[in-house]
Amino acid sequence: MPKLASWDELKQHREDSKSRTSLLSPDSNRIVLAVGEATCGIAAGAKEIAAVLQSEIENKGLENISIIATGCYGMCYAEPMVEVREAGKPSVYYGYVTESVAKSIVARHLVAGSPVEENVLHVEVQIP
Amino acid sequence: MSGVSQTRIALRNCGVIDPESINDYIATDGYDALAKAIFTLTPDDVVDIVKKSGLRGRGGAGFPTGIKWETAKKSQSDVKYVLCNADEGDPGAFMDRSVLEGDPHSVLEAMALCGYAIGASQGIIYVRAEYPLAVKRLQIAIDQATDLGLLGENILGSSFSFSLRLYFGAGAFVCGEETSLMNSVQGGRGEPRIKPPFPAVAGLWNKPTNINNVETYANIAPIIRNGWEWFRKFGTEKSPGTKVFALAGKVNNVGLVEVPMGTPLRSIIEGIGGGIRNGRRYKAVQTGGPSGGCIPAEHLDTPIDYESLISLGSMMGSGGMIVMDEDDCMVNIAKFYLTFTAEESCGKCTPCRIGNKRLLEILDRITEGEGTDNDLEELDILGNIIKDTALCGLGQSSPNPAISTLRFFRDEYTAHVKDKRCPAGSCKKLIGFKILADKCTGCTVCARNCPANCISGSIKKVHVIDQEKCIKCGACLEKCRFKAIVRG
Ligand SMILES: Cc1cc2nc3c(=O)[nH]c(=O)nc-3n(C[C@H](O)[C@H](O)[C@H](O)COP(=O)(O)O)c2cc1C
Repeated sequence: MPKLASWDELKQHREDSKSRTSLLSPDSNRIVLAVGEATCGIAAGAKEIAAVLQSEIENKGLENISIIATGCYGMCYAEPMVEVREAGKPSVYYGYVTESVAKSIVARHLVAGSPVEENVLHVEVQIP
Repeated sequence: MSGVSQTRIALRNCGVIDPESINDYIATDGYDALAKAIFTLTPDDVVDIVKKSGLRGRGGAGFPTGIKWETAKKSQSDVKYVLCNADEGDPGAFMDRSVLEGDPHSVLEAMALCGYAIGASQGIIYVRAEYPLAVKRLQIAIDQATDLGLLGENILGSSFSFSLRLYFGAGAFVCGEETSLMNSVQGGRGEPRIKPPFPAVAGLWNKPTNINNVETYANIAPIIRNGWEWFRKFGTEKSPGTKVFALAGKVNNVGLVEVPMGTPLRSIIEGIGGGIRNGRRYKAVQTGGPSGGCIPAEHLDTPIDYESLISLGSMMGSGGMIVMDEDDCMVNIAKFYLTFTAEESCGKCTPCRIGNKRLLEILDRITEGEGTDNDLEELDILGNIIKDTALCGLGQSSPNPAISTLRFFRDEYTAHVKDKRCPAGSCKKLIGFKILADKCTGCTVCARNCPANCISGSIKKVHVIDQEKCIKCGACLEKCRFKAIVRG
C-alpha cells in the first residue's frame, strides 16, 4: 500500500474505505455480523460463536454476509454478543449468545427475517 | 445497558469498528483531526483548543490536559517525548483495556496530535504485558498507520514526523505513577522521582515529556475535529465531557459505561447497572480504586465530578466503580485495599513502606476482634500522617479506603472493637453459627454438607455445631431449608 501523501489522499482513501468496511453504506445489500471480541467477549466464548456463525452461513449457502470482530460493547455481563447490521435498519444486538442461539440467529433472523426476540438486548447509546 | 442513556466520546468506536482495520477507523473520520491540525492549525492553536475544552486527565488526578501540553510545548529542548500511560493497575478497572482493544487508533492519532502540539517526534505507549490482546491490536495499529504514512516520516506529505513504539510494563502498580513509569522505561527500578521538576519540564531521560492516560487521549481527536465548544456541551463547568466507568461488584449489569460528568451516582448504579444483585441492599460504592474511598447510600445523588468525589473522601481515580451490598464488611474492604497497596509499595519512602504496614496491622487486629478504641484513633492519625508525608501518589492516597470507611461506617468499626461483632457477618474470627433447637427438624442436610464434619445429630433429632471445629464457611446456613441456622 503506497503512503498517503496529502490530506486529499486521506479523504479519497476514506471514501474508498466506506464501501469496504464493516460500516455499511446506506445502499449496501450486505449484512454484517459483528461479534464482540474484546477480552470480555473472548473469555465468554466469542471466538467459538463466530466460528459457529461462519459454518452456519456456509452450510446454508448464504451470500453477502460478512462476520467481523469488534471491541467491547460495554455490556460485559451479556457476552458473548452478536450484532446484526443491515443498511437502512437499526442494528439488532444479541446477548447471552450460545451455540444454539447463534444457529437460531442465522436460521430465524438471516434466513427467515425475524429477530430471535428472546435474546435481543435493549441498547441505549448515543455517539455524538 | 438499559435504563439510562450513555454518551460515548472516548468509546465512540468500541463495538462499532473492527479494531484491526485502519480502514474502519479512517471511514469513521479517523486521522482527520490529525490532518486538520497539520494543515490548518498551528501547534499553539492545538494547545489552545485542548486548553479551552477543559479536558482533565482521566488517569487519576484530573489535571487539566491543556496546561500540561502548554508546559511541555514551552519547555525548550531538541528532543521531547509523548508518553501514554496504559498501565491500568487499579484492581477491577478495565476502561483503558477496552479502548486499546476496541479502538487503538484513537490513541495513536491523539499522541501524534500531541507530538505536533508540543514539538515531539517520538512517542511511547507503556502498556502492561498482562493485556496481550491490547498489545497485539496496538502493534497492528502502529504498523498499519506507519504503512499508510499516518505515522513515521513526513506524515501526509507534511514536514511533521512522529513515530511510536510500545514498552511493556511488568505489573507493578507503582509503575502506573508517571515518574516511576519513566524510570521503568529507562530500564531503572520502578520508583517515583521527586516532583518538581514535572515531566513536562524534565521527564523521560530528563527531556520534556507529556504523559497522559489512554482515555484522556481517546477524547482528543473528537475535540480537535469538533471544537472545544462542542466538548463543553457535555458534562459540567469544571469537569467537561464524559467519563468511562468500569462497573463491577454486586450490581446486576457488570460492564463499561460512559456518561456525562455530573451524572448522579444513582443513575449509574440503579439505572445502567440495574440495581443490586439478588435483591440485597446497597451499602457503598468504591470509587478511585486503592486511592479512593467508599460512598454510602445517603450520598448516592451526588453528581459525579472530580471535586464532589474528593469532598466525599473518595476520588474519581481512573474510573473503577465497585458496588458493595450489606454482606460486605467495610473494615474488611479497607483491609483488602491496604493489603494491595502495602504489597505494591516500592519501599523508597518510609511513610509508605512502614506506615502502610502499621496501618494494615491495625486493620488486621480489628478484623480479628483484638482492636481497641485506641486503634481507631491511631488509624485516623497515622493514615493522615502517611498521606501528608509520602513521596508519591501511592502513599499519599493509600490510607483513603481506611479513612473513608472510618468516616462513613464508624459504627461497623465500633461493633468490631467494642462488641467483637462483624455486622456484615464476614470477618471469620467474629462470626459463628448456631442451630435453633425449636426450628431444627433433624433433616441432616447441614451435617451432610458441612465440609469440616463438625455438625452432629441423628435423624429427626436436633443437630449441634461443634464450635471448636467450625471453620465458619456458612455452608450449613445456606443449605438449611427451615431457617434453623443463624449467625451468632
Ligand atoms: C500509584 C499510582 C498508580 C497510577 N496508575 C495509573 C495507571 O495505571 N494509569 C494511568 O493512566 N494513571 C495512573 N496514575 C496517574 C499517573 O501518575 C498520571 O497522573 C497520569 O498518567 C496522568 O495522565 P492524565 O493527566 O491523562 O490522567 C497512577 C498514579 C499513582 C500514584
